Amino acid sequence: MAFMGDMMNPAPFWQNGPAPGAFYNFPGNSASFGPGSHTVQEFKAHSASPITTTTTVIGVKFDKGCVIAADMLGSYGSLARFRDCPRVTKVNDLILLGNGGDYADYQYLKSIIDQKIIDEQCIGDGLQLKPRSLHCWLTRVLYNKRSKMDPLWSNYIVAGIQDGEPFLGTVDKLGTAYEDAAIATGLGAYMATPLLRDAADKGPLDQESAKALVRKCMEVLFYRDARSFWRYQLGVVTAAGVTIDEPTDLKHDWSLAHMIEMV
Amino acid sequence: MSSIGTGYDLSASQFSPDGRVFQVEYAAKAVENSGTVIGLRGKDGVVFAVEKLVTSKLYEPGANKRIFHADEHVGIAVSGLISDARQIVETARTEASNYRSQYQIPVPLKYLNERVSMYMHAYTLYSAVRPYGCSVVMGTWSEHDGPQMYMLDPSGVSFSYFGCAVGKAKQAAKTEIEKLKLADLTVKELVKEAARIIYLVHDELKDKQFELELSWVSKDTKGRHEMVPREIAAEAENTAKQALADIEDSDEGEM
Amino acid sequence: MFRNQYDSDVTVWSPQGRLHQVEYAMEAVKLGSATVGLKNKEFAVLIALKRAVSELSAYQKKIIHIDEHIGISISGLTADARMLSRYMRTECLNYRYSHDAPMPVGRLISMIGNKMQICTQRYDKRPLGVGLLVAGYDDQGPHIYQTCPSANFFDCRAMAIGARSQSARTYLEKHLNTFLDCDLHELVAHGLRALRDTLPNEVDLNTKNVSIAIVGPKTPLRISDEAELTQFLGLVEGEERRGGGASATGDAGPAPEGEAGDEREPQPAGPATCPCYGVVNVKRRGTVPRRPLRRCGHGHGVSASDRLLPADILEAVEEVLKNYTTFVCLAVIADCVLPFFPSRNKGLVGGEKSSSGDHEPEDEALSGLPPGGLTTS
Repeated sequence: MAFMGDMMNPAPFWQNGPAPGAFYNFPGNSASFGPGSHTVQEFKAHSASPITTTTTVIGVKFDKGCVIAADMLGSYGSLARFRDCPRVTKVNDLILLGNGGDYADYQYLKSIIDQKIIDEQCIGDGLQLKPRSLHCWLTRVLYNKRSKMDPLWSNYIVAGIQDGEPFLGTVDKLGTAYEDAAIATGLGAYMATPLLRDAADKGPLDQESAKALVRKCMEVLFYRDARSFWRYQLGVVTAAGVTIDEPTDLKHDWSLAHMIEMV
Repeated sequence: MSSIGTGYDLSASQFSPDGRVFQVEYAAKAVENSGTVIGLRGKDGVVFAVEKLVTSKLYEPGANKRIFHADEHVGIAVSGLISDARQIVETARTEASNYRSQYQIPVPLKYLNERVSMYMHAYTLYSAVRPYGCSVVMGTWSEHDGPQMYMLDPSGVSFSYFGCAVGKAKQAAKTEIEKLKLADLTVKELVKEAARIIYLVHDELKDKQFELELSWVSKDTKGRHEMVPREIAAEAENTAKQALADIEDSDEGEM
Repeated sequence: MFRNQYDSDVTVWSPQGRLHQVEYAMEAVKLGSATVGLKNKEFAVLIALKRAVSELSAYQKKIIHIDEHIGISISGLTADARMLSRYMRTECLNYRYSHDAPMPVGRLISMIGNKMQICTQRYDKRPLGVGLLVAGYDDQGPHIYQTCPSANFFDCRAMAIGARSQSARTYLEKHLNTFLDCDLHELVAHGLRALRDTLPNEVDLNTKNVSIAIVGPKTPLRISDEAELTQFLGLVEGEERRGGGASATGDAGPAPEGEAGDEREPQPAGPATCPCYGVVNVKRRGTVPRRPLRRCGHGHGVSASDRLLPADILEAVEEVLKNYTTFVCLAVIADCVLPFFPSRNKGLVGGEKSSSGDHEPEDEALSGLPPGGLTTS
């Protein structure tokens, strides 16, 4: 059948001359509908901003583990839209995960992480994902997305126990990743980080002092950050496992508010 | 089987003159040469037991398993070519995962079974591939549907069962299973029965060594498929050995 | 030409539910030289026998580095092994890239299993004709895995594959319970002894034909250099070779005296003079005779006094025969029986060669390869 040639892309009628339709183009001419005749859309719109957002998440290491806390508000712009957005979650017995930023992006990635854990349980070899591995994996995912100019708009704090030692690391939407003894994302990076570092520099924390410190930060942030909320979650990871407290309500007192005057 | 060797039995995409697809039947033969697998569906869950034949002392005890998890809530016990079976398990996992990502709930066994069966069946249609040489039994328990169990054949056919057996001694095992009042028994009782049946049907003369694998998924495990805890499994195994010894004693007595 | 009509394609099931093409691929593993893997509580060790295709060529590499914590030893088609090892390396690298951690050994193995299974089910593919021993170390300690062309894999306490590896497995089984508690040197010594049992008498292990790899805690995979090889080989040097006499399990009467490396005469003192005895019987009845035939298919006479098979040979033969219910390949039987026979070097495998005594023994033992383009190691 070789003599029949390629039926789908026939050879031109003649060569070394103008192609049919090269000098004229009638409206409705089939040539103007052909695949080569209109410009391919080279540009594609990506999400350029988050939609439903959450604010700061903070994490701090103590001698035998880590604490993570985040409030439960989902903001729609400046509108305090959703009041029950949990974003401190257990990944497995070794890992506690906290998130801030676009809530939908977080939910998307969380379901992928959950499936990762299920896949691992299915293998049934008794091995568990470790915090450093999850931190690395998140970094790869977020960095890849941002390199495609389509970032997942959120920050993550991975806390856990890595081979018996506490681990605390973070990744942002650009794939910037680092480990530290105290981490706060979002507006908290400006207001909570100094508080956390001050405390951490004074000496090693134990679980109770770490929790107290984090609670203090949540309070400060609540007064200062207009996208924050009085209900928050606090989770702890130690070698004994992961515990996440029931959502706690901040006690807040605005009686001093009249003394603050915006000039 | 008069048509064997007449040339109509060399391809899965070919019928014999009397309307059979021999390649599928031959694949089923591969399953019959394998260790016995039984699945029991009781009142509150499903129990799997596998007679895993150990062909060398050099293998790590307890390794090279024949019971798998397809998802948190679904167990799969396999009989036949283990490498083929692993491929089926992989397919089941992928399907379970896809279902989860679409609906955010665990896949109901009914649908998982449908998808995996379709997959196995596809391999009976073409000459370019061969049918899978394995049968698998899938089981789960959920609050909504209670215990569920299906067995899939190399042909891609699957049925829901109360009790099923496949492998070398499936006939003997079926006979034993039929004696049980499955609907009244709890998984705790079934584990003992399952262990007893496997020990009973094991052919000591042909296959010297074997390991018993036991798993369950039930109300007590909160719908999660798990290997039966070591103590319970050991107890069931001891009871089984004892029962077998009793039978042998009484046999000798009669002689 | 075909053994039967069901063995032409990998997509064809035989009426007995067997896949002949896959079974034939399993035979390819036995064409490669032997390799042994074993472990104690901390270390996993691979020991391989290398062979040179000709006097002018180098010894074929048998152990391949996969990652810091995984190494493989191959037996069968080298090219297939290289394909698999490239895949394994890629997977390990990807895992390190995405998880900043070494790939768990068992997970890598099941990935290979799934990959290899694909080519046992498609018309346009063939099974990979190579067996691997994988040594690895991860959070769960040391591992030895064996993989087969059938896409099966096994988690092993110790294992040997390749030509005449049955003798090595016999050794390993016998000493299985001691491995876990012995130190690294003893472990390697056990491995070397097992490997040596696969050798014909006139050949011995040396730094040229042995390769050793070790992996363990804080010990990234290390393929021994010549200095270390010399040290390890020193551990078993001068020991009496079990393969030299079939008497290790005691049934065959006094073992022939003589150190390894002796120039030896064909010895009448062995338990029998023909390694293919019994085989003819096997073909007919499918069972191993407790008493061998008076005469084998090749016309080798077996004198009445030598008729009883030593127990360990019987065991070896039986082990092989499990896999062959209808037909027995003489070479396979010979493979497992030969090491027990000091006088084997008279071309006993092929009947027509039986009378010619002029073979270069080493040649036959180490490079008796079938013709063909695919190189084995």
